[in-house]
Amino acid sequence: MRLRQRRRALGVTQAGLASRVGISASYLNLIEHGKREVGGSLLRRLAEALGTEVGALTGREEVVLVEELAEFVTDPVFGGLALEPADAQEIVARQPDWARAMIRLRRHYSAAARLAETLSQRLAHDATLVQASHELLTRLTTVRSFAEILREHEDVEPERRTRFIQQIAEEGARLGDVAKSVFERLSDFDESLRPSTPAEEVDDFLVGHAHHFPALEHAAEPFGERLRTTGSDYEGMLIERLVGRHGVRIGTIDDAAPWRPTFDPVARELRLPIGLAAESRRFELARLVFALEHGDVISAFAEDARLTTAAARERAREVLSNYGAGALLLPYEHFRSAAEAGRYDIERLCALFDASTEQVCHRLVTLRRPGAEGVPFAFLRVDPAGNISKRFGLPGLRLPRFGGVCPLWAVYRSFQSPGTILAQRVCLPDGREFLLVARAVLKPPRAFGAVSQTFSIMIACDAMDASSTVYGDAAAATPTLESGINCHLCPREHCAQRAFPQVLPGS
Amino acid sequence: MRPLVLIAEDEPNIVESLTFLVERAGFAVVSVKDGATALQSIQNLRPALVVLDVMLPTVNGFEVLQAVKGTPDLKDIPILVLTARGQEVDRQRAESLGADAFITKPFSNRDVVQRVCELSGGAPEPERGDAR
Repeated sequence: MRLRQRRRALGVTQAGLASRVGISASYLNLIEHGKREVGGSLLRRLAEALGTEVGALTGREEVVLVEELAEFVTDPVFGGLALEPADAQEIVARQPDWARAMIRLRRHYSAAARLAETLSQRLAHDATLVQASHELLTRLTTVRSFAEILREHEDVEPERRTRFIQQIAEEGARLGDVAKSVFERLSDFDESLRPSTPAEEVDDFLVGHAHHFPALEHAAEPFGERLRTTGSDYEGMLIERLVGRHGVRIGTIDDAAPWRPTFDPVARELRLPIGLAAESRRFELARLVFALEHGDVISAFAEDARLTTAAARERAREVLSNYGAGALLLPYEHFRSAAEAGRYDIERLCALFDASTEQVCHRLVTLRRPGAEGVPFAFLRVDPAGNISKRFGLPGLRLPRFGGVCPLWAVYRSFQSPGTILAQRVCLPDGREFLLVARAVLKPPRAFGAVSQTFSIMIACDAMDASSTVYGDAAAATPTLESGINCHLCPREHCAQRAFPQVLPGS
Repeated sequence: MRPLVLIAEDEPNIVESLTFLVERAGFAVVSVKDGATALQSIQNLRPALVVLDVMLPTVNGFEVLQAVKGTPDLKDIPILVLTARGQEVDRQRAESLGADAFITKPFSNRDVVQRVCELSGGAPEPERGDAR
């Protein structure tokens, strides 16, 4: 907690601050040493008294840094060094910039290692390169063979000699063309040399904001409230807003293949794929309304120093527009109180708000308005291959970017019974317990034989909050799963589902 | 009579240079451009040696190799496998299917001629200055 640091930097005594916010000095001392949690209005008063923001005090970024550093020392590249994960806390507290530097360096290294692996796979399997290398070798063979013949057989008759020389010239020219296309192909790979990917930067950015953007909530409020109170035809109202106020035309894409809506800002036409589910249509309309009306607010956020590339900023803008759509369709207080009253029953919330599982779960994660928080949830979205496409962790539940999570978790089991909500209680190696709630969702194909999209959406909360949810009891009916975050970090040697050996610190 | 070498290769320039070299070394040469024709020709002509490229249309070189080495009265015909795919796995595959030798492109002319002579059972009298 940065509380103590800030207080001392301002030269304020414990007694002084404590009395300003209405608590005892000894209680403040416990808080400063992390022995008591603090939140809600007390946290706000403390922030105010110290002239700062709530976010600056909770130091959520520090928590993530500690966890990332602790995980980072288990990397096999440090084998032979006696690095203790427990020291991470101290390093972050004393030298946060060094900690950041180490993590950045590690990310570079991991990215480079991954790139090397990807490149070697691509080189081996890239159809263009395979074809090109075959061509190169064939041309070279001809050139070499003809040239050697001409050199070693002085008695080759003139017409044949001429023909051979001509072939050498032609093959040589084709060689040049093939070589050029190979180099072009190889230089495509250069794009992937970014050390910190846009996705990683946007994740950091979201964590820094604790996945809650008061400015966006505020911007969405007026129209969001109108939508809610005026009636049930959200789609009609959104279309009317787009057409009437923004001169946007709504068109359709009739093709089973592309599943992304497109917006042409010059022609001002939004094209939605035919067969898009109603909640997805509403979401896309709301997203465009928000982007058109609050583009300046979004762009201001996208200028964040954590976003160092155009690609990262673009991705951040997309994510923030999605946030805005969620804020419009699922207004904060209305959604939060419904969630709390319904004990975070996802299906009920989907029904109440006519929203998709992903929209509801994502909104649950953003319920972090100080003083009006919902239960803190982590979020994970995976595909059947285990690829993680969206994630947001919790303290003690850091979700990896690559390589998937524990194969026994509900987020994967849910694929076996699509549409059904699975609840599961897990116990991590450090003793912390979490409630996982997952549902596999399928976007049906829009023509026979067309590709459909399947994801599994998972939210997770600390086991302490399980009783606030309808899922707590269901999960308690089955034994708690002893697991790890993933095989690399899990010490449970005899797990039948183990996919990789554990990486031990210092080994 | 000059011993016959069958060249199975679909790249015309390579056929031309190989034909020149092998004829100069004292052999008669017949060339084919695809695997199916290669199988037929081997059956009909019973060459002293086959130079076989792996990447052939219709029936590929490995299939030809497997068929020939699996036919009792053809399996003793030596086969020199020629390929641009120089990976170890291809060499092993060729060997396991019974190839007698394996050369990767781009080859040195000297190497090819030497192998052809060795595998076919000795070089016939080399012919020089023979206008063709």
